[in-house]
Amino acid sequence: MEDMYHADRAMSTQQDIKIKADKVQVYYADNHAIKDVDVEIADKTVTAFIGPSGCGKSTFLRCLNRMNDTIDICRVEGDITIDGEDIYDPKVDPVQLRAKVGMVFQKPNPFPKSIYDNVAYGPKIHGLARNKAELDEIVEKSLRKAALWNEAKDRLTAPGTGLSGGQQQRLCIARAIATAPEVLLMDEPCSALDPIATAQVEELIDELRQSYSVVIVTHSMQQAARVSQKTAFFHLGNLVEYDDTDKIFTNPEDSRTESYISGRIG
Amino acid sequence: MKTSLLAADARTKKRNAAEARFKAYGFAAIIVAMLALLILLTSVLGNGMSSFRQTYIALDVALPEEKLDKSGVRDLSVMSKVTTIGYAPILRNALLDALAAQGIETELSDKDIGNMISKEAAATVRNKVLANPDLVGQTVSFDVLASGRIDGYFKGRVTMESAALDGNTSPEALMIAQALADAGVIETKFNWNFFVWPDASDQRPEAAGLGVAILGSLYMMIVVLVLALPIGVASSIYLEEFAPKNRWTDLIEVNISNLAAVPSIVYGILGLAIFINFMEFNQSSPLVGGLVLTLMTLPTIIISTRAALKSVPPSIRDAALGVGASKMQSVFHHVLPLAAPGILTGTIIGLAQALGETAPLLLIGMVAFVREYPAAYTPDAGLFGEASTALPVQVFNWTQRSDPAFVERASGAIITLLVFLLIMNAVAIYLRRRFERRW
Amino acid sequence: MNEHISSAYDRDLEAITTLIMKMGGLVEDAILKAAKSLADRDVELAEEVRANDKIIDALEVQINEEAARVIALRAPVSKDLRSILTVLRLSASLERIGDYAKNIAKRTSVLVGMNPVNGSDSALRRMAREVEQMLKDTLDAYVRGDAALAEDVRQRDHEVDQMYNALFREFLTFMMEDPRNITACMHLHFMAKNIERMGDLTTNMAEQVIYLVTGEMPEEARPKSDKTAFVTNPS
Repeated sequence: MEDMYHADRAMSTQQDIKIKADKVQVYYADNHAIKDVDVEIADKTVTAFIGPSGCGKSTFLRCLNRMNDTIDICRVEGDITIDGEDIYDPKVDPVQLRAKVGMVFQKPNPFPKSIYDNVAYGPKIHGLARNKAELDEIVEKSLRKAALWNEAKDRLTAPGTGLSGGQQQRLCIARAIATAPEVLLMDEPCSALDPIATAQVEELIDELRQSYSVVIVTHSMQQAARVSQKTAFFHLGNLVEYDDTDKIFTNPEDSRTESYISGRIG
Repeated sequence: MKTSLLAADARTKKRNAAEARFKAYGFAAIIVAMLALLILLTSVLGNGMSSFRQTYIALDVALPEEKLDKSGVRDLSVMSKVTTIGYAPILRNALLDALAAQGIETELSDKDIGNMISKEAAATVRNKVLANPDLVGQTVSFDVLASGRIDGYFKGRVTMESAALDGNTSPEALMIAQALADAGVIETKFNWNFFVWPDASDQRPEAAGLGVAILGSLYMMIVVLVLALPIGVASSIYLEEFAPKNRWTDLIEVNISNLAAVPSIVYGILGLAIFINFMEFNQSSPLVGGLVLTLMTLPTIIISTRAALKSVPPSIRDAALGVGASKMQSVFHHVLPLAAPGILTGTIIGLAQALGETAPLLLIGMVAFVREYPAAYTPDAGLFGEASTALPVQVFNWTQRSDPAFVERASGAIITLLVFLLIMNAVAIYLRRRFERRW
Repeated sequence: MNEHISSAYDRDLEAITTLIMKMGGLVEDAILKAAKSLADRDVELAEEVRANDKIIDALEVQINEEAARVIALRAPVSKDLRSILTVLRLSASLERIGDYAKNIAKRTSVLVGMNPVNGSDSALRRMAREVEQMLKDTLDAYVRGDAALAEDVRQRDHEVDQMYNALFREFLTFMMEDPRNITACMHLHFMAKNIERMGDLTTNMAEQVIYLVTGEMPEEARPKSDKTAFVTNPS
């Protein structure tokens, strides 16, 4: 039993490297928001970014699918590669990148359209389905993966905004995985949800680990501890510590990590 | 010391009194505003409602062939040589016959009796005869317009005392009119023609209508809608979603806000200089009016469209970008549909503003006296190129005339204008309610 | 270590530490008194040790409840988690040590009526003092977060084991010399064994303190010197 447990843990740390960041710097105008971040994110693993507000964890997350491009004053330096390809290469179209690197946001933000249209939107604009039947199939598969199919199958034409908060967030996850991404970025996906909905989404994240590399930013250290295999602690724009989650939560190396996770004045 | 909750201390009392005073000031302000509105509405409605009714005289008119068509071959070119001066005595005779039939005796001269009929009536009858020459030689029933003074008498504007001092009528004429009304010959009916007929000359207030003005306003609104909506929405989307935030866009923004505050007469001068003097479009044409109003409405539409775009939560844009939509897809698939009710509302309010605008139109000559219905398109004048007038300008125009009957007409025109504005605002509110989305 | 943002959390942890120290003090006292009651053949003192064990048991229950409460309410992580785990281990060990002291006191009541066996009382008392000193140092190491002191305690268990070995052989010899000594020697042997077990438990506590401070259990095997299991014949 114990051997199996250790084997599982060991496997999770020996996965292939999916995303590699090297000396990443982010500036907002003159403000140096991310300093010298080096990180290697494994495939088929949940990686959690934790840290106090304004530590740069969300900013760094948004670098991974170039959502920061939409902010004029934001400048990114250093290398970020996905499967060895530099995503900031001038030849990379951020639109294509974002189909490959899906994102789920803090507040559930379904489009004010039907549940079906919410999920079908991504496949439609990327031309992933050749006909209605294929599109139906993608929608069903995505909703099933997001554990929403049973609740939503009878009301696919109902507006997505009419769902409960937890269902809306799972709808957003379904929408993100409908474009067949390889990486899923989640920016505090449970911060607007109640504990039951949070537990459901966490369960879902654990299942998604089978197919995707999941990176989650969270304010809840308990959540990071529950869902992730690797944890990165950010502080004032620096990556202070990056290690196995159980190591971080029982015996962190850095005193800043220790102070933060145990709720001390650091 | 322990204080009781049941007894208010001095400080609390003072604070509560201040609050009560403030509420009273606010209430008083509302009362003043409501009173002003009430006075305005009573005055306009009191003066103007009567313009929607008009006094007619029912006459059996004998159309003698020897006077109207001496040749007897019903040749229109010959018949049209008989002018309204030829028709006036026929109507006068018909009225005299009616008096005789009712047994009403009078000392008035035939000419004065004839003056009870509007000068417009002769033209109306003539037009009908020319339209249907077979009527000649028959006796036909017509409802002809009573003169402005008689009309005024039945609406309470003209009294026996004022008639005694008036060169155009006399107390005797009014008494005859009253007798005819008692007999059912003179009748006051709803006045559709007010909305259809064109303007009339100073002497015929009873025949003046809003037809040309409504048509001109409609043409201008079409021009404004077709130009201002696409230009305004396109520039708003560009400024709000695509333009880089730098000193130039800041400058443009500030200037658009400033343009919204520029007095409308300045736009009139601009229109005169550019569209009439430089580009040589027709004076008084709805095209030029529409262009000037477009310039004036654009800032309003741009400002409200940008506000509507801004009110779409950024999370929707994030969501669209997050699934890999391009900037344009996110704007056109998600942001614009959500902003549409706000944009429509802004546009309609802008149009309503343009509809009520007078000053710039005066400068480009739309104040001219126009009796011909303008065509939407003629080869000579081009699209919306024929001279026209507009509702607010018509009001301005009528208030300048000496005959008090035109005050009634002007008030009627104001009511019409207000009704149009109310309808447009109601549509705007309806659209906003109907398409507003929650998220 | 800095304070917690929630000061009530700090107060909870401090309260538990205070309870552990109180329990530790009572257990130290019990060890010394048990040994003294034997040396002085003092039945009343033995009786007092047996009575005080109830207080120690009650303290263990209280510490367990407090620890469970902190885990449930504060979800401790890293050092706080280790300190709660340590507290649970320490209180369990202390309770066992208390039980051993009580057992010694019980046997004292029996031994009162018998002749003292030559010099064994003072040897047992020395052994008890040594273990008491180890326990004191362990508790100091716990309070100060001193891993070096705890490691020192861990090494000192060796000496207690040596003392026990010597006593074991001594008792064997006495019993072979004169079978009338057997009853007393058996009791005395169990007392010695109890003290030796106290030393082992104290060593476990010291290891727990090292885990608390460093986050890792000491890996190298500690020196084992209890060789009595292999004794076949006194030499």
